[in-house]
Amino acid sequence: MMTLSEVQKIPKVLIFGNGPTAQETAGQLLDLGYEIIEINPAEDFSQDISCPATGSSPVQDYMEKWGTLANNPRYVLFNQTALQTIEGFAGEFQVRLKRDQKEWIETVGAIVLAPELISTGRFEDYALTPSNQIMTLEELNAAVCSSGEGIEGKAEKETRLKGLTPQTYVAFLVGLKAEGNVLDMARTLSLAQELGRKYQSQICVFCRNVKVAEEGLERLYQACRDEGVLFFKFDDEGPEIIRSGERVILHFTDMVLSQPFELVPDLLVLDSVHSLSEKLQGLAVSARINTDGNGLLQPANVHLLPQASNRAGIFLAGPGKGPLLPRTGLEEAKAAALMVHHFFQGETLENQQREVTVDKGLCTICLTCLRFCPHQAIGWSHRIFIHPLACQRCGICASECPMDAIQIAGYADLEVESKLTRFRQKWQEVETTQPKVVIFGCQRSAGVAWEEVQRSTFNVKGHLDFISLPCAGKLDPDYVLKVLAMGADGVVVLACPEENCKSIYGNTYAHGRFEEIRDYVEETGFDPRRIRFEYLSSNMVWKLKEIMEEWMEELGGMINQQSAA
Amino acid sequence: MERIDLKKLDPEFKHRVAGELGGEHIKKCFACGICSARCPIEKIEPEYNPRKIIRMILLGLEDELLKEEFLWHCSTCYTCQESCPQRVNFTEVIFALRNLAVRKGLAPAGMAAAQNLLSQQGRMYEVGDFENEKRQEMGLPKIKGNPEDYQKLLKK
Amino acid sequence: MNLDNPKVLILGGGIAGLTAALALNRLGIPVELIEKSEALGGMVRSFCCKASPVCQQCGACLVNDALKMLVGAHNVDVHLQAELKEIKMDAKEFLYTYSRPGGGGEGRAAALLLATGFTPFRAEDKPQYRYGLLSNVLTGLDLERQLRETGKVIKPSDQAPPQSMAFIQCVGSRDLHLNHPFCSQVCCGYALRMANLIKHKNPQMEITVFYMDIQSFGKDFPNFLNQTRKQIRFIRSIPGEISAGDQDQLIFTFQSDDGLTSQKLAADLAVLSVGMMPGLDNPVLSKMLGHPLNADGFLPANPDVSRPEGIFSAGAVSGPKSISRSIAQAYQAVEEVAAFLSKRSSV
Repeated sequence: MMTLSEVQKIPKVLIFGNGPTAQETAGQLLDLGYEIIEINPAEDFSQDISCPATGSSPVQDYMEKWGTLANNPRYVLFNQTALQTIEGFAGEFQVRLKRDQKEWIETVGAIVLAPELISTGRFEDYALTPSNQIMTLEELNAAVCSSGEGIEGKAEKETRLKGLTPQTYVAFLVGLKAEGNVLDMARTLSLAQELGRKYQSQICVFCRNVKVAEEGLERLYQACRDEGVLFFKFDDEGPEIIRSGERVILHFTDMVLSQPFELVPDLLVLDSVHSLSEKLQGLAVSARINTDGNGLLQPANVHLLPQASNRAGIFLAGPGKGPLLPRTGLEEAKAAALMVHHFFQGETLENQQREVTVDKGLCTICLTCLRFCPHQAIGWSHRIFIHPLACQRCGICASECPMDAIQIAGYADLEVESKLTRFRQKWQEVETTQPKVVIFGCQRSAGVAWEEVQRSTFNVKGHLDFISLPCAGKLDPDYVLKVLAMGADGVVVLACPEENCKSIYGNTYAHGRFEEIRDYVEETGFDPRRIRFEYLSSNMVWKLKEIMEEWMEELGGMINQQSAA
Repeated sequence: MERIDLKKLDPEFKHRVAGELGGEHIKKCFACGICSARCPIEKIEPEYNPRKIIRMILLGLEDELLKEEFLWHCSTCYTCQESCPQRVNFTEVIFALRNLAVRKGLAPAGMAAAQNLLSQQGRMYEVGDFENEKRQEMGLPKIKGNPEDYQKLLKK
Repeated sequence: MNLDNPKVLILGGGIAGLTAALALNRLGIPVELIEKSEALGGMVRSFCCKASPVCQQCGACLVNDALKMLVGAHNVDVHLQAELKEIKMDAKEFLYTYSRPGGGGEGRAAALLLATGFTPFRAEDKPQYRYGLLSNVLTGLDLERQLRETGKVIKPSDQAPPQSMAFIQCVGSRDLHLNHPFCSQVCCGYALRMANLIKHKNPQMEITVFYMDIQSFGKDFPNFLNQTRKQIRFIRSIPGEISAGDQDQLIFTFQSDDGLTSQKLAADLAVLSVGMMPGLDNPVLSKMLGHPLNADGFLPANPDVSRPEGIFSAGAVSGPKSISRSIAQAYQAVEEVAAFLSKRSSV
């Protein structure tokens, strides 16, 4: 098995993206001394610089800086290049790239995925087709913002605005068909203000909720109102849209007056659907980089904050995770750069210093471990190979392995067993009316709650011992049965709440195994009420106390009844 | 209710109200509803609804609004103004609306009578011999009306 | 101070300060952390887990992860109950002194990281909600503490569980009258997550949310909001006041959904979703550091602001923000510090 010191960390970083986040990540990492390969799937970098109100002025300041990246000898850029596959492990990824018909492989130590999202106007959702009087937010943005000089089609887009006068009405439909986001709202507010000032038209914004949860947006919203922009809010999908020839008619009821209105806007602006390119979605699947329920990067898991993916060495930044303001993307670029820096030069984390071994004699290369690993840290050739840098020592593989061939130092099966043996010796010396219980708990949740309880006053009705696991996913069904066989009266398994597991699904596996154990327990004649599974986080000390005080007392009653019977 | 074409209403009305003394902040309203929730008049007369009045201004329902008698029902308790998180200063908006209404000749009949009293007497309540006798009995000085001073002020 | 291994001074030991300290430590950069209160963890330490039953990604538990990791951080010097007394720039260093009970200390740092956090809006400053006068009116923070410590929600008046409760959003925020023309960004998140948690534990409870605009948070927010709306009543107006009802109940007077009349709602418990206001020490820090405050009273992190070199910030000190944004900013700030220090040493 390769040890941590033998692992190669090639000090090259591959950055994928076509916008400000990717550029800024490249700039920061160059400053920190790394070699950068930047892969841009598009022809040029996205000039999608929003109006000043949404934080574009910092972005504009950066554009000059990004222009100089090409002069840096440690930087190389490939435009119009696709990222086909990612092979290998943290420190030594083989990335297959394709440009025109040429394919080649770059070997890098770390990867940052910082794509922009693809925005397509919601014509289908609104049952509309593009016309002269209908624009998307992005098109309007390009037409209005002076920083969009040189944007393709800017002149053409601008002519569509020429018809705007103080007598005309512009209607924005934003966040109606689906709950909106802060980027679309920031753009809407900026553009509403711009159009109002430039053409003195009456601007009407139709939305569900005005999104102002970013610095400066509440002020912008207020400025819009003060300058005469009208806001119509809805709890549902908003105005009914009726097509009559070329005209689009909006029918809606004003919530404040409960009065039905009609409006035929001279210009209608639609919001867009923002999604990750299909190619990237495919890459995420093939490289087993977890996405969220909407096909965007980074699933809903607080342990991945700020910029981590489930795979060591692969980081995520920018709107690929969900629409955000440009200046937030820049924040994320720096955070991602730091995570990369940590990866290469940071101190090795305590858990990664633990040795993981695979007993060649027991391993049958069934590949169960490989399939279960949430971090894609396992590979195989003629034997199983657990990459010491990619492996997070959660122990799910160890617990799933049908041959118990995998052991993690500090949590090895024999170590757990010897703890249980010590417990048995201790129990043999205590009186039997008080229940003897062992808690298996995830060290980051139950372990912390346990320590907090120890520091407070509590009144436990029995003998309680705690065995810490690196992750509840390390729980082997054998442990529970062994504990009961050794004479314990009860066993509690504590895992982090769903979608809160540092190993993504260790808690779910633990729960699944626990349900199987319950069947065995019943078959072997134990009362299944003696074992209990709970989701518990580190700040749920009240629940641990409840288990310790109330449940233990119930258990005491149960076993005394049974022995009396 | 009949559907109104928004374009038939006057989008300038809100700007005109904002140009009136007291109406400067009318457009800041974001319809939180606190003013109507606290208004004591709304409790006895639901048609008098500050938030609704503001919305009518913003959407341009000028004629419908200025002809309403309830514009004159505001008791000027200032609760709305004190509670408004956007400093719309609604009590003063009511004053602005009243001025606009009067200019359009839409003041209620009682206003004209009150105006006359003011310009003739310089006060809302006539002080005659009966009142002055009572005052003397209580040891208070007589009141002489001096409407000329008041009329001079009005002329200014 | 070892010029080859320059030190960073961090003010504030909440989630942002801790995250930054750990991130710096991982790079081998020594840290001195000064925390005003008696314990580390800041405000987040009193927040509850909102899993109902699935994790709601509030991030509150992450402070415990940070505290746990701090145990193994060998180059982080923490001083509790400590306050910065004086600080000045000398050549390329900050010279500082701090005080604490039983004697303070002094030191030199190459960079300063502000992570002093925020102050919750004082609900007493909205007297129409009678916080402090009616016992069953709570703030969002009171509710967090209750849920964290006991796992239950109870009425302070009689310690019994409420049958109904109502949240009022935007208390103290989005308010020109109070001079807080900003959204506090986190209140919709904490209120709706706690509302879901309480409903999950007490399916019979009637929960109402008074709001103006619901802000997005977390991943998959549209789905979250849809599900929430099915079991919690949303009323789109803010109550004018809370008055006392019978049997310690609370009466909320508000504009009805149809906008045409005002109505009253009776509920057992009121929760005021108070916003995030500037830290009380911001003016003092601003003066001490020559770092201007922004219009809202925060110490902005924006690079547009001309602030002295070598000062960085993370978290709510620069404006309201969520736990996840505070963590991201801590990383951003540490990256900036690392770049700053390496530039200096190469000069």
